[in-house]
This record gives sequence, C-alpha cells and structure tokens, in this order.
Amino acid sequence: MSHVDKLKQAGLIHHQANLSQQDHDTINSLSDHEVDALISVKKKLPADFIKKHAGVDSPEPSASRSLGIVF
Amino acid sequence: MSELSHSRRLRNKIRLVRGPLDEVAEQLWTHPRLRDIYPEFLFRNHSVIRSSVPLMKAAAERCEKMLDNDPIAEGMLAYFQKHIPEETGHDEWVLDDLEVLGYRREDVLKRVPPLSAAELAGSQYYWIKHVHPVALLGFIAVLEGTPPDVQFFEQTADRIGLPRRAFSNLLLHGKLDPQHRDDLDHTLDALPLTERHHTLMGVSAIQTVALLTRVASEAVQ
Repeated sequence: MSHVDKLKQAGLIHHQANLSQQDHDTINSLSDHEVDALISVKKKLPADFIKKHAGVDSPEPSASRSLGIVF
Repeated sequence: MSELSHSRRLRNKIRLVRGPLDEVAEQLWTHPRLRDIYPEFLFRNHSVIRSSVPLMKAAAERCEKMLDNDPIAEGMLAYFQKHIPEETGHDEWVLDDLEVLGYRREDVLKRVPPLSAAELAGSQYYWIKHVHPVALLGFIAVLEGTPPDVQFFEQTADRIGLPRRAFSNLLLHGKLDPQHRDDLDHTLDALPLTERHHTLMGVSAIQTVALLTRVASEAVQ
C-alpha cells in the first residue's frame, strides 16, 4: 500500500484530495516511521488536515502566517 | 527525490503538515478578542521558548560525547555553539512584553505551564538524550521556519490598541529569523545525513507541528 493510500485510509488525506506531484513525492518519500508518526498525532489535529493544506476545495494556499511562537 | 537538498527535504515535509498550525495562527491573529487573548498567548509562547536554549545545550552536550564516533556530531556542535548565544535571553523578551501589559515576570514564572508545552519540550529531551540530537533540528526548523512579518505585527498592535512595545519579541524575531532559517539550512546541507537522520528530523518536526498547534489553539478557545 502506498503512503498516500495509507494516509487516506487513516483519514489524514481526504479521498478526493487533489494532491500536487510535489505533495505525492513528499508523502511517498516519508519513511514508515514518519507515516506512523502522522497517524499517531492525528488525534491532535483536525481531520483531513493534509487535504486542507493541499487545497481540495480551494486554490493554492496563501503564504504561511507566523504563529508567533518563535525560537 | 534523491536530488533534493537535505534542507529542502525537511522543509517539504513541514510544508505538507503545517496546515493546522497555519489555521490556528490565522484564527489567533484575526480573533475579535485578540486584545484579551494576547497575554495568554504570550504566556504559552514563553512556556515553549523558555526551553529553547536548554534544549540546544542538551543537544550540544550529547554531540560532544559523540564526536569520536558520529560523523555529523562535529557539524551539529558547531551549529549549536553558534546559535546558543544568538538565542540566549529571547525568552526574557516575552516576559518584557508581558510586563508592558501589566503582568509581573515573577508572577508569570510562578504559573504552571500548560501540559502541551511540557509535552513539546519533554519530547525533544527524549529524542536528544535517548535517540539522537539530530531530531532537535526538526523542532528548530518548525519554530524558525516562518519568520514573523514585522509590518503585520506592528499593524496588529495598532489595530487592537496595544503598544508596539508589547510585541517586541515578535518584531525582533521578524528581523533575526530569516538569517537563522538560512543558517539552519546551510548546516543541514553540509551534514552527511543518512535516511535515519531524515526520519528522526521528520518525526520530530511532525510532533512539533502537532503539539505547537495544540499549545496555540488552547489560547484561542
């Protein structure tokens, strides 16, 4: 099973997510441990968070705004 | 993927997962009651970054012990030895901001920090002491990866009717962090990182994004 499929099955990526090739490459480059970490922290994050970032229903996401908790 | 630089690989992973963090940031800075929430946010901010320099010192100590048998220990140690003095005292800036708003630093320091901040710092101590200090670079990449926009935060202070002196931490970091981000990228790209190192940085970064999201979202609720 690919990482993308595994994350879809875990609910971290919406099944209709329109992932870019870069997103695909990044996700598939993750190690098994990183994928497991994503699934593990899922409870701390809203559902479909990769879907939201990948912009299923919206155009390119705007530049990130600093949260303000900085080193 | 093999042609990507070490820093680009890590930044791509963070970019992939930072959506919830960005959403919380947007909720916070556009909140209708931001003026009331801001002191609580500063307290949570301090709860996290009071551990920054101690974490780097712990990582540097481990690197010193690994110099004889770990090929990335020397490069990491050089990075921490440069960055520790650069970051020393930055937690005091947040306390300064709180004092501008009328909160005495001794009272702030007596408050029990939130669990989420303790989890965030505690997890990094775990990686540093029991696995490999390279994990801390994932944490740093998240926290220094999006420098504050100076103009935005000056306008935010003005908009909510707070003195800009109460935003000194953000405004100072806005000027410093672009260089810090570049310094980390240069360090990463010069290190002979293995796939295991990338996994540790990635897991650490994922965990940092998740816990930082929680630290901040609890202030907005």
